[in-house]
Amino acid sequence: MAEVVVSVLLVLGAALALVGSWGVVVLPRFLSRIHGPSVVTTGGLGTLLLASLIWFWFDGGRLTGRELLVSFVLAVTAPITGHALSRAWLARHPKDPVDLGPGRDDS
Amino acid sequence: MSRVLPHPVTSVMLLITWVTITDPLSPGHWLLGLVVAWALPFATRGLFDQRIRVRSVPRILAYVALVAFDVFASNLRVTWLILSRGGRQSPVLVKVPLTLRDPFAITALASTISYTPGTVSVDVSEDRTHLLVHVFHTDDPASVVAGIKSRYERRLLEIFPC
Repeated sequence: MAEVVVSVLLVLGAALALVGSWGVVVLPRFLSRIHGPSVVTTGGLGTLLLASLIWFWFDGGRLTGRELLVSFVLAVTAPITGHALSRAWLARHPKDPVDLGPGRDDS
Repeated sequence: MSRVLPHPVTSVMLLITWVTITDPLSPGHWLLGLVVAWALPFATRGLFDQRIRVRSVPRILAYVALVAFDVFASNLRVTWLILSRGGRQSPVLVKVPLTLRDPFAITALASTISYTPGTVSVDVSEDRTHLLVHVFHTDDPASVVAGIKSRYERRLLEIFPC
């Protein structure tokens, strides 16, 4: 039973990671493309970590805090990439970007 | 006390982290973890002159649960937006006026926004009164700003001393 649940979660996590990466390919604007990878680091990896937790719980009989720790480290570090990338974009587009209006944040 | 142990909370978290990634059942790793938990904050004490203060730990846990739920919901939303619309979203940059003043609280808000798919915080104004946020897709930017303020900032105001 645990095997079925873990398999479903693994496929689901991989699918979310694929959609997030696909976003980087199809999204037309720089700032929009930043949103793709955030699906990979939250939904994709979150689902895979849940699968790992369930697997080692039922298979090895051990419930360790490692998955929780990985999620914590991800939650602290993932936004830094977003900040760094978007601030770099901002530095190259110094005029007030709020005046650009919807859909016109092109780079 | 504070000279020898400059950041007690950080030390406790480091110790928990150390035994979690090694072996929680081994006394040797608890000992090694204690050394790391003391030495790291002590060696880097010059970098963090301010101590982080929070008012309520249960409220932090409630906030984490809320954000976890929101991250789950926005994952489904953004995934659907990418699959159904390809590159045809209506993205927008919005200015979020800040009531928070504490730098750690603003960092927590900016990180929450970035970690939730669909919104990324781009910049904080020099005077720390506004946050610049990029929204992946919305027809109503004002409601996104109102949502960030009422859902996250209001709760952070209750967590951090202001």
